[in-house]
Amino acid sequence: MKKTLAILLVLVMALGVLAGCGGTKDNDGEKTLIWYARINKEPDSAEVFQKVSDMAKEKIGVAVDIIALEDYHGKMPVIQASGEDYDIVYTSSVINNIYNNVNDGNLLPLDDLLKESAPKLWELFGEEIWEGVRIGGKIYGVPNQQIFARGPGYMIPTQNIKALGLDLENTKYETLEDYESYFKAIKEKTGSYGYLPSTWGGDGPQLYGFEQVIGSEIPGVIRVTDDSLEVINQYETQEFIDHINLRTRWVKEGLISPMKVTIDDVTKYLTAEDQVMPWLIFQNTCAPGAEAIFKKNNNLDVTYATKSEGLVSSYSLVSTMAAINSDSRYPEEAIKFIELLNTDPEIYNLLVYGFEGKHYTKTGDKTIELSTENSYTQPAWAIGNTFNAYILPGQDLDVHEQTKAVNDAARRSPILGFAPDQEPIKVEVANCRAVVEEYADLTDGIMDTETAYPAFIEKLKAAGCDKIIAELNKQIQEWKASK
Amino acid sequence: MAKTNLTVQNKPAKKKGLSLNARKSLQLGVLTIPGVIWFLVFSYIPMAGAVIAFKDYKPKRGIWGSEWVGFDNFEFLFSSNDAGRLVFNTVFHNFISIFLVAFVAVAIAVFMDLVDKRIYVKTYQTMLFLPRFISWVVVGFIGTILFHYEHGILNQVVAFFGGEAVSWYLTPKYWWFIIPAFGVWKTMGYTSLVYYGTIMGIDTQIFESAEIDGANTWGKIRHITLPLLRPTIIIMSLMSVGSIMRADFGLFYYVPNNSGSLYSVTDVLDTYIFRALRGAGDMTSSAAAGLFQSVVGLIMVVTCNTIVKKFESESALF
Repeated sequence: MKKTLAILLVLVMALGVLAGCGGTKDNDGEKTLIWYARINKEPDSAEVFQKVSDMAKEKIGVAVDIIALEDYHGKMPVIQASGEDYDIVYTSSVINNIYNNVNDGNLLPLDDLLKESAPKLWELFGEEIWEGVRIGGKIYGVPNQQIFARGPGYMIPTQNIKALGLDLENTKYETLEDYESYFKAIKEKTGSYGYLPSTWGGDGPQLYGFEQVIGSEIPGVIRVTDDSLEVINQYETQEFIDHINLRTRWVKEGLISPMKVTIDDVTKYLTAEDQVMPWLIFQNTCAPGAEAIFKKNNNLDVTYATKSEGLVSSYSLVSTMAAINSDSRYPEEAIKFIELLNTDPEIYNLLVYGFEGKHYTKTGDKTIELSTENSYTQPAWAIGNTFNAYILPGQDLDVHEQTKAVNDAARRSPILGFAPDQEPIKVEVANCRAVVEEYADLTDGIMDTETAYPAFIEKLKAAGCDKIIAELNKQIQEWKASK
Repeated sequence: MAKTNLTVQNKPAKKKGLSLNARKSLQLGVLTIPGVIWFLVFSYIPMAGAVIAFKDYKPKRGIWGSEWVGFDNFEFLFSSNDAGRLVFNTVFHNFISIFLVAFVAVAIAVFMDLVDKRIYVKTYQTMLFLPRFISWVVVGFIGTILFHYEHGILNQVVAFFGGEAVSWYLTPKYWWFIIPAFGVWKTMGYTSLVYYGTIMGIDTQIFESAEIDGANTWGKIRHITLPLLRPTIIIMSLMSVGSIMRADFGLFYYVPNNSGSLYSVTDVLDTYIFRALRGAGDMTSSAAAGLFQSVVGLIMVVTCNTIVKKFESESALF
């Protein structure tokens, strides 16, 4: 008896293994868009998503299945590669890389679809922006309206201004070197060193007048002021050497910590209001209202002591995009839904801030205060047109107009509209990425510069950085000639 | 598990009626079904997917629709100027770990056998087994608590004795010891259980007759326990050799905090592949690297098995 039971159990388990592999989603007749959104799972997201779907059904006649996918970078490419069914996808210059997506044929060209089915969306951006996002002459994604002029800056805790007696108006804080007095003041006051997380990653090189051609960290930049558009290796420039020498010197003089710290590390520890918070952090973008968003996320008052001039580049334009699967069954509905996210403030704010009265209260026509009891917020920039977003406490009422003005006035990248083809250099790019990560400590000034720097450059050369530079130079000159 | 295996092996193959034999193998056969299906579905069928290592794989075109590119995808692994260091670190750490784990686990199993009270044995086993269930990510945090420059326990101890704080995460030389230590700490419980099971399976009459002949504890261990453990040690080691090119990713990524300064010791094939290809979403190069690791593993297992067969044919795997 026992034996028969055991054998039965075994068989059931075996069947279970098989059954676990089958199963597909059924469609119940009505048109449903599947949207893998780069947003968070919040306690109330199911109700919010349902409401969004209902509104979409009412407005454009199609339901939307919103899937909040965390760890987007890790999961979305796998979902795409396994041929899973989806209609709308988030893609960008970094997360779920748009160039790889186009290369793999994952995305639908949107040129005709935009003009015919979503005229309002088409008119949202000028010719310049649409030109800037083209890859191989075609539009593959709709940029989320936001700050396009990416300009990094240095941020300090607001309370330090008083605690250290800083005079931001009359002191020159332009380059990292200008902060030597800041860290000296910290040391004098607290008796210990300050903390300086990485200042070269992300858009860091932009503070030194570079534009990165092929993404952050990979060798290949141009000087934005150089009209010849010559691509150079940023790691071999005097600017980089000065940067690491400065950080190394500060470590040696005991001004900054001799260990690796991240922004999360330093902003976690709060001190009393009249005390010094001993850090300075680098931020990729100092868009208008960024301090308020930082406060929303970290509950901390910060001030930009350095704001760099913004730069509009193809890279910044494609930094957050909505795109459509080339196998989508309902491309027309999908583009209409994207149009809705970008032109309809009601549906957009519902998705970003949740239900009025429950998750936030209105304090004015466009200003809101978030509820402290029920939390629901999503990153506005990952969803659609941020100019339609309600205004948070601490943001100026005209924050969106300010952003628009910054966008319009910002310097245009000399290679706006150029999209590098990475296929011929993908092995070198992969190997260089590995080398750059290995020497992250060098970039932070906590390695022995004298021996590590030459070794770093030698390894980059062996990994093929010169081939990357040569290939990019060739592509840019070809692009320039075709203009 | 090993215990059951052993008892099955040790049973003398008596020649009984065919029907009984058939019935017995039917029962055993049915018991293997879940395992067989599991391996079929998750190991054998996906093996066909290894062809993408030789293709310019485009998901939209499918595996068979994509173009053949020969060995192009392997270029990434071998064009890396670190290939030598990666292979050395992977193989070196794995060899150290095979020897160290075998040594420590056998020692624990032998000591455990000397403990009389069952409750103590259970307690020790559970305590030694626990690390196996702790995720490497969590172990990474435990590492931080130990090695943090400012707040780490080790540096506080150093400071207490008046020494100068050590930048653990920036100094590679210590990690030749730290990595194996964590590796052994995590695996010894499980492996020692296998050996302990084998010792339990040894016929007690052998020990009794040894005692009558005047053998002391050490003599029994040396002349009975260890020789009888030998086949199990060889089998366990042979199985580890199969993954000689495959490092435990969590150990080498989370425990050293992925600190670039330590790569001369901690960078192994798995971490390098992860680091280089993470941003690229390049499935073909990853597949090529995985295939390379497996093929080397297969060659190693077959070679070692052949060597074992030559010297001790009974202990060989196949």
